[in-house]
Amino acid sequence: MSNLFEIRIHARAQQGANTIAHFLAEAIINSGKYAQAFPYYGPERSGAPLMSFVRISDEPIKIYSQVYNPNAVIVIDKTLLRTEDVLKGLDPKGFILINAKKSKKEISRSLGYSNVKTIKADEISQKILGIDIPNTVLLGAMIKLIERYKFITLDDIIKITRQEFIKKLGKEMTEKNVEAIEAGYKNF
Amino acid sequence: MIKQNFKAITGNQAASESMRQINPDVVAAYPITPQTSIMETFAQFIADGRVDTELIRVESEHSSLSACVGSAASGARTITATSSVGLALMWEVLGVVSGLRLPIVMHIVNRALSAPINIHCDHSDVMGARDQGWIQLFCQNNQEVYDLSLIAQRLAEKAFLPVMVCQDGFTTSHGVEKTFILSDEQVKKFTGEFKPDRPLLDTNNPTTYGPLSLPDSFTQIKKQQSDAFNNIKKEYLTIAAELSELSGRQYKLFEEYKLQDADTAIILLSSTASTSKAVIDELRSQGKKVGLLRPIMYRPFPYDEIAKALSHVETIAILDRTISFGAKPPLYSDIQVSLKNKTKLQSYIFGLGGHDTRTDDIKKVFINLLEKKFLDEPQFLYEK
Repeated sequence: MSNLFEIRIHARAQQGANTIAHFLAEAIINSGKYAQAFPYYGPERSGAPLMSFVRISDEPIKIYSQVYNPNAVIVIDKTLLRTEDVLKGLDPKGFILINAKKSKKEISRSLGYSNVKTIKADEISQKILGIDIPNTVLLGAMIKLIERYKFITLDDIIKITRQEFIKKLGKEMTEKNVEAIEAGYKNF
Repeated sequence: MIKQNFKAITGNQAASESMRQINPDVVAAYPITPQTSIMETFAQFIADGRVDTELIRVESEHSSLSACVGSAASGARTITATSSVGLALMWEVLGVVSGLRLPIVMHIVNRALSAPINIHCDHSDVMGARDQGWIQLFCQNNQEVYDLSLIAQRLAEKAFLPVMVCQDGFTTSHGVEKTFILSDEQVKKFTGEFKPDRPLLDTNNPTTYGPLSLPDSFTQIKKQQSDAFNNIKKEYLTIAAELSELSGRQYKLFEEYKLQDADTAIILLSSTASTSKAVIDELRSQGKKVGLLRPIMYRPFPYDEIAKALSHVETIAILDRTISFGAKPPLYSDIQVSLKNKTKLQSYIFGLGGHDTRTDDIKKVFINLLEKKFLDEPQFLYEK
């Protein structure tokens, strides 16, 4: 399979990891490429650690196992840095995007991994949405960080976000989420 | 290539989308993970007025399938969905449905049976129901969930036999991927109007459903049911060919992947069979003659057709996603019967309770086959 690009997202249940994985896959599929987005749930309760995966390719994807060697990792909840092996299998040429207040340097040192990207997504989400749901901020940041692979543009993801959120969240919150995506995008 | 619309949807959404287009008269279902989102989406279609279906809300799966019995016997096109212990709770009614020749379609989102409790995929739920007179179709991806649901509807109503459409819990049911969707008009034309045979509500022609049958008639009735069941393979192929004219997607009783010149093959169902293709591609690039046979129709089992397709293969591994306690696993046993013990076979058990099967695991199976490593007992495929 050529040009396979894989993403693993670490979060807790109800933090919107599946939502952003779904949006990424949908936007990529709509742009004519192939993608999968799928979750791995542990126990069925709010706050339980979970993983969500995105697999991207130029060709139809045959593999349905989990992602073991991601090109990129997103950590929505920084408390998972203490309990989950977030670097497991990560491509040495890849990167990890973490929602954290601490500096890139500090986290790099404690993880023992250099290619760390950090964003204060909680703070940005609180400011724009009025609540601490940082998933769309991280989605915007991710779009910027994978832009060079040309799977997807900021406009693609905004279009999908509007389409999917309008019925669920209403116009006001949908537009605020678009703003959150843009803020995440501009952070890098 | 036929131009078609596509959507980025999950396997469960593919099932709901097929149901929306089929527009059944009655749906009765009870929520259970990982099936629940099929019914959530479909209930939204009802609420939005996009289908005319009457949704019967019930207190259990025993009741949901019982409500379906009443509905289908009265002449209504009827669909339901469940998983795992939900299917187990339907057990008593499964044989009623098939024995009464009711053309109910049931979506089964495969999940392990308790205990220990586990919400993830294996095939222990549906394998336990394999002798209950329901046609069983196994889907490897979201596209097949959609396509085989349409085929299932036609097949059920043609043969007056119930059909289970099985997809892997979470892997397929909650996985988003590109899925081609026919137009509403095409599906309406393809599935047509359901013409019930002697429905209960035809009061001008009163009919009794489910009367007592004493030993003088019971065997004869069961023989007729068995004959009807064994005869549906041809109908399935005809209906599948008709759908392929609209979709361009071909469905046979089973899929053969690089099998024609293979000397070594593996056989397994559903999404992990798709994963195996990536391994086959890799081993083929190294010059290994390996292939796959993936049953789509598991009941009735196509013994002769499979035997023919495997006649040239020297070594085969069969991977079952269930245990048959105290016996050889079901798919293995069926293949063994097909091949009349002539070919060297190895049994594996994989993916229980959602245990993830990686390409490396499948590669290990192929390497053992290529090195002619055979062991009598079924081997459990997981890292120890």
